[in-house]
Parts: sequence; C-alpha cells; structure tokens
Amino acid sequence: MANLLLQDPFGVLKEYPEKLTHTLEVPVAAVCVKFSPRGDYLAVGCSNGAIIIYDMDSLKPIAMLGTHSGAHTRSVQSVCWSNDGRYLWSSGRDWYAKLWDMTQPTKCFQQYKFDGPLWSCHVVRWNVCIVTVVEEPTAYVLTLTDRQNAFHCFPLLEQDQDISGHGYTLVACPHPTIESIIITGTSKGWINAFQLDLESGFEDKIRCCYEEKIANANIKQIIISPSGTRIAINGSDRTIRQYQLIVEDNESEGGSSHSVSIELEHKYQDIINRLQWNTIFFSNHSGEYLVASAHGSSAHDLYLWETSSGSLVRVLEGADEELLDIDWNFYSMRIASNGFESGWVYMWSIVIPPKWSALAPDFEEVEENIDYQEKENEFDIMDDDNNLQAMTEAEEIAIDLCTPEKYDVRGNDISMPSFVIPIDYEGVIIQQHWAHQEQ
Amino acid sequence: MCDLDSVSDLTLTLRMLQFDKQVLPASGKISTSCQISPDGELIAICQNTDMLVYEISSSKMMKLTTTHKECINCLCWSPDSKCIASGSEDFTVEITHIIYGRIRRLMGHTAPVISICYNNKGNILCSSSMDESIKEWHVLSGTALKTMSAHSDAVVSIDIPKFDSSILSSGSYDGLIRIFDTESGHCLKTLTYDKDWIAEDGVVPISTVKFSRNGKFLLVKSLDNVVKLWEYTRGTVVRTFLWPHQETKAKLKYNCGLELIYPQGKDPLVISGNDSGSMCVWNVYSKNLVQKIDEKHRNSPLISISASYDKVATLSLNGECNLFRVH
Repeated sequence: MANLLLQDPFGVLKEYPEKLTHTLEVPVAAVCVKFSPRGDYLAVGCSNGAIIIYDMDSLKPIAMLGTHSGAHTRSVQSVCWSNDGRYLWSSGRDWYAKLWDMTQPTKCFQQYKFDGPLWSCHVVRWNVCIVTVVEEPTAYVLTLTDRQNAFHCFPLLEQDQDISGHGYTLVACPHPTIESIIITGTSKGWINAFQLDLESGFEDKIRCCYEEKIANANIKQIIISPSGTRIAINGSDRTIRQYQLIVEDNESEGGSSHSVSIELEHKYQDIINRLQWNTIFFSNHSGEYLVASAHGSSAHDLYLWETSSGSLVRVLEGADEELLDIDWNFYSMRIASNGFESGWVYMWSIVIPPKWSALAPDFEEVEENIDYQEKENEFDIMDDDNNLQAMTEAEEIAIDLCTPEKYDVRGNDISMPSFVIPIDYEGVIIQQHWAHQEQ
Repeated sequence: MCDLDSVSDLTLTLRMLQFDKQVLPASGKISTSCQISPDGELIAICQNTDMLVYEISSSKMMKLTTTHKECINCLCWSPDSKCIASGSEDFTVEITHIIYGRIRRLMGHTAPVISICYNNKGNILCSSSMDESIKEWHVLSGTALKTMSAHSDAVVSIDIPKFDSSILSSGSYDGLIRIFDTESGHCLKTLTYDKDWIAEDGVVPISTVKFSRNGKFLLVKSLDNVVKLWEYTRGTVVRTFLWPHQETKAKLKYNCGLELIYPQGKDPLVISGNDSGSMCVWNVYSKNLVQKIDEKHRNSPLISISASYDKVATLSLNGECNLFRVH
C-alpha cells in the first residue's frame, strides 16, 4: 500500500522476511494458521475446536467463529479463506467441514458431516472445497451450488478408475492458476492429478490426467508455487521433492483437457539429523524460495532454501520450540508459524528502519561523508518569473483523484477492495458491563 | 482562473451545489463539527457536550448525550455508520454507538483533542491533540496502541485514506504536513510550504488535511486561506486554489471547512469556507472557480464541511447547519 511507496525501496523489496517481530499468545493451542488473502487477518484453528481471527493491524483478536452456534467440538485441522476474504472453510477432527461467512462470524453458515475425522480442506472457489478424510481412498469435492441448498459432496475420482493400490488420500492441492486441476497425494506415495468440470460440477465429468508413485512413503503435503510452475511434495521419508510442474492445454472436442507432468528439480533432506519436515511453503510468483519447519524437539527454526540452486539461504530463528504449520502472506510479507509446545503463533516480518531524513524535508541521509562541491547555479537568485513559470507548469499536469492503484509496490494485485470483518459492538458492550460491575 | 464577477450569470446555470434544506438554525451553542455518515443517511452535529443526529430522509433529530466534561471539538463516523467518535476539550475521546450508547472512553491525551479519524476497518481510531501528539486506539479493547510525536505544535488535522489504512497524514500549527506509517508509527515524509523558514511572521499554520479518494493526493488548507493539492509521494504541489479577490495575507482564526466532492460522471470538486460564512467551489482538475455561495451562513465563520455521495453538510460557528445537494 501507500506506506511502501514512501519507504526505502531496498527494504520493501526484500524477498523474504528475516526477523521474528510478533508473538501471538493464543489462549488455546493453535493447530493451523492461515492469513486472509490480503494479509490483514490471520485465522488460527485451535486444538479445542475454536477458530480465532486475529486482526493484523492491532495484532488482537477481532472475532471468534461460532460463539453463538456451530463451532467445531474437536481440534481444527485446517482452515482456508476464499479469494475475496469473505468466506472461510474449516475442517475438524469432529468429522465436520464447515463454511463460515465473515459477515456473521458468530454462526456457522453451512456444514457437512463426513464418516471420519478430516485432514484438510482446500478452497477452489468460495463455494467449492476439496476435503481429505481419514482412511478414505479418495479426496472429496464439497460444493454449495445454491445458497439455500445444502452441500453436494462426491469423491474426487474418475469413473471406473482403479485406485486399489494407492492407499488412502491424505492431502490435496488445487492448482493456483488453473482452478479445474486438483493434485492429490496418498499414503502409499501416489500422486494423482484430476480435472474437474466446475461449471456443471458432476461427478462423471472428473478426469484423471496424471498418476504416478513417487515414493514409498506417506505424502504429507503438496504445495504449488503461486505461478503454478513448481510443485513440492513433502513425504514421510524425510524428503521434500521439488519438481517442475508442466500443465499442457489440449484443445479437443467437448472442451479443453489438460495433461499434467512433473520433472524432478531437487530433493531436500536433513542428512545429519534425519529430521522429517512438518510443513513446507513456497514464496511468491514462481516459488524462488521454499520454507519448511522441521519435526522433532531439537529443531526450533524455519529453514529457507533457494529453489533454483537448492541451497539453504536463511534460517528464521526466534521461536524456542518446534514449529508446525506455516503460512506466508505476500501482501504483508509475513510468515506465521505455530509452536508445538506453547500453541502460540510466531510471525516473521521485514523490518524497515526509520528514515530520520523523513522528518526534515531538506535533509538527506548519506552513507559516508561527501566532499561538498558547490554547483554552478546553486545559490543563484532565481527570477520570480522563472519560479512562477515552474510552478505553473507543475500545476498543469493531468491528475486523477479517483482511480486507485491496481498493484502494490511488490506487484500484488490490489484492485479488489479487501473484505472487512464487522465490528462486534455487542461484545464490547458486554465487556464494558463487566468492567463496570467490577468497579 | 476565471473571475467570478464576470461570470456570475453563468455560474447560476452551472451551479454545482444546490441548497436543499436547513438542518439546524443558529442556536448560539458551541458547535464545531458536522459530519455526514459514510452511508449518506445521517448527519451528526456536536453542540456543547451533546451530539445531534439528523436523519436526512425523515428530517428527524435525535439527541445523544456524552459524558464529556467540556465542549466537543471534533466528530468522526465509524466506516460502518454505526458509531460516532467525539474528541473533546476535556482531553478525552468517546465512542458512542447510535443505538447502544457509549461504548468507549479513551483517556491519555494531555490537552484538548482536535481531530479524530478511523481506519478503514473501523477497529482503530486515531486522535490528534494540542499536546502535539497523535494516538492510535484499539476500539474493541479501549487501549492505546501507540503514540506518534513528531510535531512541535498542536496537531489540528489528521486523515487516513478511505481504502488504505497504511498511512496517516497530519497537519499542525508548526506549519508541517507529515505522513506516518500507521503500522510502525514512523514518519515517512514531511511536506512544507516554507522550506527555508523565510516568511517574516513565522510559518503558516496548517488547518486541514484530506486525502483524495484513491489515496494518491493530499489536499491541504492553511490558515492563510490557501488550499493546495499535493502529490505527496513526490512532494510537489500539483494544484493551488486561491480565494477570489483576497488580499495577499488573509489570516483565518478557524479552519473554516474543507471537503472533496466526487459528482458522478464529472470532475471532482473542492469546497472551502472562510470566516465570513462564504464558500467557494473549485473544479480540482481545471482549478476553475465554479460556484461561490455567500447567502447562507451570513456573518458567522464556517467551521465544518462534510460530504458523502451527493450530499454536503455545512456548519457555521453559530450552530446553523445546512444541507446541499450536488448536481
């Protein structure tokens, strides 16, 4: 936003946050964290089923979901925002997937009960979500076609496809730029790519466009870079495999069909300690960096690799415990991660030191002393006429007071206004009442 | 700039602002601020320590009392049009919900509060004071988040762009206009008319700052009754609006109101008042004076102008409040 325009450009354009700046002491142990698309809120899913929304301007909670009705009754496994920041999906160990409308955070908007605890949910559109369920061979597509209607749920599987040797589907990842493509991973190391027909949404239109066994281990997580060109797969064999992701669009009769292929680029392993990786996350655009949290009580940091060379470039320090989930927002350039023992949320940001010259318009900060050389016309007394002319010229340029900026300094799209969660005045009144009675 | 007298007949037909109705007659009570709600439905006017809320569609008036000990200096609507924040001479700020009543009382300033504004989410309120500081308050908890002290005189006006709460502008009697980062509290930029401090009788105090709708420009009024539009990222003045037939050195005692209006499908307008109750309306792009309104608020200084959609409310120091419509 506009503050970035006025700050030191070298500071603003740093590619990753470096310093632990904030710790949110969440009252209930946090299990999963997710920034709203524009980075102005953070949703924290907790071990007791609570979902707390933190405001990132004040770093204080602004809403708790389901305080009137419909909250999860067991640990929240994952949360995911819709693109406009108005809806939030959540999946819990209480067998429910829930959809929340932030215009009314106190009530659950819609929910759906599965036959077992849920692993994760991934938003494709605000009303379409991919859910993975414990001990189910496939992932499920959950759609809300009509606002009045209940959910429509069907397995993510091509008709008559044989997946008997694949094990259980544990994770899913929608393609960030082609929303009809979903990639899933199973407990026996299989990677599947499916193509959905989002317009009709019927089960029989699902097509499997890729399937391969890449490891002899559980697939723990799949991530795709925001540009859709890189994919990384975290397996329980202590290895992160990074691939180039190639999606080809084959125009054919009856619409386009995609073919998916992957090419191995790097493998990341901790050779000395043989640690597993809890969570991985790509940086913006083509995913030039990959950040990961390590499993086990000995590792307290986030590791950041450069993906083109595969070399470790940074260790994000500051948390004194094992870290679990990771989310990286590219608008606010913050990384959030939750601690295993305390259940708090740690945030790393870019710190830009204050510019003292900003306080006095005529001063300029210099790195070292400069030998002063007077310029030829520096102290010439300017003609009033000349001055006036320069001023008049400045006042003739075309200006526009209405059209907002489309992109921020970092190249993020800001053309859509971000959704604002309404203020809970009733909550403030109750608080006031308590404070009054204590007096 | 076109001379008004020669086009006075023309301006009648090109009139931009049309008088709609009188909201409140002159009362003699101290009224320093009128604000139209962001949804354009209500007008809030302060009167001593009370607030009057006027519903435009029904012409009904409602009175809201506060617990301020002294007069209210400034009002500000929350972005959802549900609360009014008031800054007072008694150093405090109060937030009053129009249905639930008082929600918060914010104490911390050590001098009268002169200007307040909300961020776009409505969860943070900023206030500026004669104590030379700007404070950020968390509305839900009622706590002060940070204090920004970078001025050397009363900070009389602050503003935050409607769709971008990352920055805050401030205008002070020390003659400086500063832009702050609302997240870190650091000063990011300073704008001033008089870089070399060469004016004989000291600096020109700033009276009002106001961001353009897209947040790229800053409209500034100073107590010499000159209005300037700054492109603040580059630090240059891109438009100057001078009061017609004004002697070179006018000195206003009050801020006399300043507002930007965005008529649909037309160029934006600047409206500014003076201490004899007159208002001038300029086209922002061409700098042409398009209207001068003298017949309302006669002989009482204009003190507040507020616009929302096609409605403009004006208030003079004697308590008279009028509603205009933009055509």
